[in-house]
Amino acid sequence: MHKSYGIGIKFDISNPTIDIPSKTEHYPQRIIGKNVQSAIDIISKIDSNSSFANTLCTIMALELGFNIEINSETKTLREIALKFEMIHSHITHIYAKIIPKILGVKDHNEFITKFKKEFILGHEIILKTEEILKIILKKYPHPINIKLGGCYKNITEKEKETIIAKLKIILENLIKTVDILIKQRQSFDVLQNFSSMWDIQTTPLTYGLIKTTDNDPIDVTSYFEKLSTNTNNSITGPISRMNNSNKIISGNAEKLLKKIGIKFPVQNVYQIPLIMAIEAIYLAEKSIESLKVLNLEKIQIPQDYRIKETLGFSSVESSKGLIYHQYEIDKNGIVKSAKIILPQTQNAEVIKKIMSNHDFDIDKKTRKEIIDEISYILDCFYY
Amino acid sequence: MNKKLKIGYVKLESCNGCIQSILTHRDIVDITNYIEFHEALTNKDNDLILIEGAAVTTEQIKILNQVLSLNKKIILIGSCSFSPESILGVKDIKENYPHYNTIKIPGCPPSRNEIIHFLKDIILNKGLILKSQDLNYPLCKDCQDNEIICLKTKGIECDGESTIGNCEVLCPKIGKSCTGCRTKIKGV
Repeated sequence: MHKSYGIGIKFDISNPTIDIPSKTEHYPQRIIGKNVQSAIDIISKIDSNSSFANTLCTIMALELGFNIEINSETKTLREIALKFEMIHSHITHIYAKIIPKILGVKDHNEFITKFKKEFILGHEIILKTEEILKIILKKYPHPINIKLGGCYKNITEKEKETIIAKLKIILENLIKTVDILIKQRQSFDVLQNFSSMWDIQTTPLTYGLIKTTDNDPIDVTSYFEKLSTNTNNSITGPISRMNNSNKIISGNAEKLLKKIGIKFPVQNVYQIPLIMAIEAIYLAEKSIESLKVLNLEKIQIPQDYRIKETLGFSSVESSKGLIYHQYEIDKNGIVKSAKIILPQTQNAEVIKKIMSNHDFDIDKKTRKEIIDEISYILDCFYY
Repeated sequence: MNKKLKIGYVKLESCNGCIQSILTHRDIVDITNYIEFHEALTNKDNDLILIEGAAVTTEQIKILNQVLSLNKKIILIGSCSFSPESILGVKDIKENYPHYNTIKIPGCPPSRNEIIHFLKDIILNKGLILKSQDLNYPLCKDCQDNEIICLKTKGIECDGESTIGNCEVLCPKIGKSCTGCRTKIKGV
């Protein structure tokens, strides 16, 4: 028996395997033969929840290839926008998929009518984050303010104050969101047989910062092959970020981690939504700190750049995990080859292993109960 | 209208931005007093079907065929649902289907206000869609109405002349050229 989920994953209940859709393959094919600006526009359409992360990854790869320098203030503004996109993505996911299941509602309509207060709480966070993203990126979900070498238009001091004010409201509502998730925590402690099955490691990346290689782009093809087999059982995304970085978490996020008593490393997939909500709190607080000291006068409005034959690579941390892009450009600025690795591709093998090793108690549960459990596990992984 | 209007939605090859922009709109709580949104294939009792995205993979083509066989009025939301080559660089099979029963809302994504005004019109007209969007109106007129200096006069390439207007000219306002995300005016 198969059931399709949103983006086309099929799951066979008698023989658990998962087919992850091939955005990793068909998006690169779409941009081959296009000029760099068209490539950037097309890549921004991969996924509305990581639109900026993918756009930025493309832009940074091209900046590296064309030797375009970016100053620290512009990098900081880009990182702040990435953090907001992560908050938006996490909360949209928690309120669209996780909290409705926790509350036992069958769809969006029932959520709004029976649990209006909880719905409005999440809705407010999502709206405020979008308003902030629109101030910085000028359009959401597909950003238009970012360009090779900087921004088309700077943000003003008044807009900066507006963003900080909205962020404080977002923070209050995020803390309330964690309360909702904590109340249902007993459902997160199930499935003890997950605990020894997989290690959660990620490729080395300083938390929340953007990383590019210095001079030698990695061979993405062989890296992709390594990820496809993923014999290390490594995973990318919020749970691995938190496992790697929980000691540097500060502020309200740190207090909540202590209050909840989460022990690291976390390996229970059902804890991912709670980790996401706490991460969102940490991101909001760090963004407020960064914004307060950001010197807007130094944000780059780019000059013209010289197109040349080149190879560029970049890696960006998105809400779902690490994204890798690599581009080969010809002397006329046309894309000759493109390789993209998305977080879903990296996590696919681990999820398959979890599914195939997990005991779904097929004999004791109804089909609906099993499907609901599979659905919840996939939802915890963002699928 | 006592009975709520039921709109079924289908997401094909797309970024999810259009449906998400409806379900997270500021007025969604009010809207859902009059409209229920369901996934089109899990609740077959829908009055209208909203399709986002292009049918590109085998599975998406199968889903599209199932949706079209329900024989309901179709709303194609977002440019990639009716002109995916301009957004995603792919053709999709929907161009092989007659569009006599179809309404198109262009944009990538369409502006929220455009979507919500459209839905509010449906509510006020009790489920009937009385008029389509004006799809023959170029973006250049929006720039003129907003007193934006034409980018072409500054030597910047821009697709505004051939692109469906009635957007908020966000791109020209900040000096970015129009890249045609609302798709081309027919015949241009």
